[in-house]
Amino acid sequence: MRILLIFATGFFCAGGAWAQALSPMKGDVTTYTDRFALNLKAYNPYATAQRFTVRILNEDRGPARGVTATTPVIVVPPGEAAGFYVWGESPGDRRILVCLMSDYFATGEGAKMRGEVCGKYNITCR
Amino acid sequence: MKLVNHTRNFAAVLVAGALNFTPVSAQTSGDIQLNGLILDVCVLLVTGSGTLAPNATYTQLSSEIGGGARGSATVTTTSSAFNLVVDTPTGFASMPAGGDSNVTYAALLSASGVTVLGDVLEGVLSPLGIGLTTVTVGATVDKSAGVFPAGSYQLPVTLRCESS
Repeated sequence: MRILLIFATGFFCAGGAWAQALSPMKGDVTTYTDRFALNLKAYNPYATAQRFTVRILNEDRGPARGVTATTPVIVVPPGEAAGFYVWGESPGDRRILVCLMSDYFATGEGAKMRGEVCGKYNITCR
Repeated sequence: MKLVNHTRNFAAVLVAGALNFTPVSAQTSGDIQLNGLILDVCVLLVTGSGTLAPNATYTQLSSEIGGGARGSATVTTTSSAFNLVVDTPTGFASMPAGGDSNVTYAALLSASGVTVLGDVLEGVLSPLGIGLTTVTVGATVDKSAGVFPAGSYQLPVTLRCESS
């Protein structure tokens, strides 16, 4: 089972340069078991180190049950990337969103803003 | 006779060897192919958070009135497979006592560059063009009863780029 999981992950990760807050941001994963794994990268385009919170959601934006990330928070140095894994159960086909949320930026008075990027991944069970 | 055969074989080997060791300078030109792959990406960069200012009657805090300023961000995409949305603010992160009673929150965004959007309300997904989009994000908080008490307020707003 582990070998098959690694295969599924490996196919998903093949190729591609990263240059965004999350890479890849979409993908189709085929798994031959009831579990799946994604290998993702968080990229920090800011000039200072950033802390990103990982959120994993269902397609309806509710919390995705049975899916976990290596770490709920990733600290990435400026201009660099940090890898992390998302894995979980997929008794049938499912679609999940993996979101990376920055901390809030507050440069003015009364408001603070943060950015979030969400990738969409289709998990297909064979 | 055997000697003749050996000589012929040796000569053949020599000829073959000579063919195999043709100098590099005599080769014809060759192509070297450099491959690249660009994935679907969305780079979201928050560049300013904006300012909320009170109106004359202190019943509204907004980025849309005098003294207020919108937050700003840039979004770079490599495909048309992304949407931009500003979430509905859920409440102040900090405020003086009573500052968050009887209030309603609203947010909107505008965009220029490869994507042109004018005051799109919170929660509405807007498709992004390919390239660089400059975004401004505004917010307004209305108080239906009383006035905003003195103190420091901070309203969190989330701008999101998501795969379509």
